[in-house]
Amino acid sequence: MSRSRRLLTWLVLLVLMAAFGAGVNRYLASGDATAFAPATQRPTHTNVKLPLPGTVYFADDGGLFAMTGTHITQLQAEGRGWTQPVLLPGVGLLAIKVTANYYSDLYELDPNGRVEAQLSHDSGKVTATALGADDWIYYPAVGPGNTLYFAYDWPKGGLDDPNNGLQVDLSIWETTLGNQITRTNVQNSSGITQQSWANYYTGGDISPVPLLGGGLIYVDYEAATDNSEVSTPVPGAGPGDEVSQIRTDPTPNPNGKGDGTPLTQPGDDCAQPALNAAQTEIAMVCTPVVNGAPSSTESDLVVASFDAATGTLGPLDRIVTGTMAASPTWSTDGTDLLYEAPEAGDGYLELWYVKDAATTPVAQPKQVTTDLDLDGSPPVWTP
Amino acid sequence: MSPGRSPESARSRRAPRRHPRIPRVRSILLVLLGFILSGVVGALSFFWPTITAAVGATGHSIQVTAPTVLPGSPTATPAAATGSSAPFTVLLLGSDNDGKFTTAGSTSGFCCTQSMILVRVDPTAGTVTMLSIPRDLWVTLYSASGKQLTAGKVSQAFGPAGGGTSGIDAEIATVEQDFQVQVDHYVWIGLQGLINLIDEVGGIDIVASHPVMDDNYPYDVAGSTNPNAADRVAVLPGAQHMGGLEALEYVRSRHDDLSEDIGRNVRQQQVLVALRQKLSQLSLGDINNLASALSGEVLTDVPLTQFSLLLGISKDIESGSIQHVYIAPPLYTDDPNGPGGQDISVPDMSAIRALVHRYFPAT
Repeated sequence: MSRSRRLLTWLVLLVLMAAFGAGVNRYLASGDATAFAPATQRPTHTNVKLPLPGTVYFADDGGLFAMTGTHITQLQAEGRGWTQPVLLPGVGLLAIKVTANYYSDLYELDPNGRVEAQLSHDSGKVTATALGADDWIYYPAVGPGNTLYFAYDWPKGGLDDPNNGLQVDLSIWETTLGNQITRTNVQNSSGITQQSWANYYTGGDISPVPLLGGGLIYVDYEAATDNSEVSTPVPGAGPGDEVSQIRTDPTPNPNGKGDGTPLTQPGDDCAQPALNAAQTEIAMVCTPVVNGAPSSTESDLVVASFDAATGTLGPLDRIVTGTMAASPTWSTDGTDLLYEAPEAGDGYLELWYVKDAATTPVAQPKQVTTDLDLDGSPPVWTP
Repeated sequence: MSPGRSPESARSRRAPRRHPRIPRVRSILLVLLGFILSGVVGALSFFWPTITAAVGATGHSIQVTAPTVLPGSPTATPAAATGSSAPFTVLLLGSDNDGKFTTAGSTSGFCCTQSMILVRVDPTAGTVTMLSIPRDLWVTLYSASGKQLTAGKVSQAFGPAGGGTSGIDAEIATVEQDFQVQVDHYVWIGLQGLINLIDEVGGIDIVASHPVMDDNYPYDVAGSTNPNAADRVAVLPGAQHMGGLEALEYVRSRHDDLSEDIGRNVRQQQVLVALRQKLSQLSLGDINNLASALSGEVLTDVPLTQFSLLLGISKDIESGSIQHVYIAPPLYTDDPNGPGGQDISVPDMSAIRALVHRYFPAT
């Protein structure tokens, strides 16, 4: 072999060695666990695996979106604090807009997501010394006769300690759609009336669901060890444990204790109730007991029959277990369910569908979307 | 052999052919060595952030002596090696690390540990026990060298010792002496470290147990220069995928909580379980990013070589095998008018030690 050829051979080998080193480096870099993937796709670019009839509105990463068939349209851009869309029949949507770490407000939007009206007005006092003047409004729900229910963090500082600004719990309030919701109007009961009185230091009462015949059901958060708050003792509960209980017909009670008639047992820790259109079936999520203790990483999708006249539930049927189910919504005809849960191996919440959810045996859930980052607030399913 | 050629001449022609064989073998070895070295350099360059972070963050030794054994307490043995199958105890500490109170008159600039969780891992039984220590528990404090100091909140040993590893040593000494328990290892993480860790693993999946509302949440992880600045927090209940900042709000908020710190302790253990679930999916390629994200935000005495073992143990333990223990009334009573007007928790130490020894027996 000539000298020049030998040199060329060594040169090539050196290049190959360097390439091998770089390859090892890149191979190691490519070993990231897929479970840690931080990025989801923009909702408008995601793949809809299962087209559903009608339109589904949902909140994703602070934006609002509408899904029709396999097409997803952006109504409000991500990162703007939009959450908890609800249907405003004949008009469009109501939705909450959160100004992170300060306050939230309620807006009315048309079906294309354009803001039509601002229905609540926070004081906007976002300085450190005046944060108590700001308020959270969440969980809007529209009932018969344009009755608007919502959860609002007033009164702050309960009767036990009225000057204690550290106590911030949500209570349920009622007004007529279109009335301006401000702290002053809430405080003075000016066209706005209190429907429930939160148990102190629990986070409060949320998720009002209006009943066709008047009244509402809602979720009451309770200290699991306080027998004046829970309707029945919770086995094995310890200090600091809280449970949620679905109740009906709250009566504002300044004692903040156990108001409303219980529908579920505190030990079942049920929340996020959704009634079908006929209000004969209720879907909700309840905490399973795993190895003798309530799970903090699982929630079951549960269905039960509901009798509004007597205010009673049938037996709880846990139709989806072993996952982290959230925010069920019925189809318009009241047979199928849409809910949120993570895709396997990925914690981001996606839409899932269960056909004939109130009929046993219940069909296997089917995944509807991929690569979304739903915020856990219920989707809206319209015809 | 060709006719007409002598054997000598034939040998003289063959002899030079033998010489290239040795250089060829050497050449092959050289090439192989070159590839190996190149691969090692490639791997080293990938793991360099991990290596530098590990040198800075791991392997700190515990400075304190073993606890003085009180009459009736189980005899503590020297620290169990995490390399064996023997049970071992880790003290998890979470705290401010930004020295934000320097301007508020503190000599050290460090305040206290916001979170203290004692964890016992039994690799053979496949069980984990978590015990949260309320931060306002009024106990005897100890210095980093194990010297007895005055009484104070159990979380306040950290600051006067100057934070960092000295503060951690003081906290370990205080926990060991007051609770009569042997701490084998510690892991300390700063507020920003917890945010970075959770973000780096792509968030955690958790069912928030109730609305967590707070109008007086510390505003100190976004560059605020006012140590008393406040923020509002509203973490709504239910299943959700939490990023680092939201998870920190969930575990750190305490002003609208039942029974003061206990509700927060429950949430802290929830987040630990969710984090363990996520970390069990850790792969080799993630370690580098994780090390970069945690640089300067984590301190531990667990040697780097033991981490893979700990991760292995973590993967093997079922969620249902994790036992949650809390120190709650009547094991202490709240006193809003404690020394210096502090809101303190006055402990029944003998009852608390009995609880601790039930779940953390001497090994």
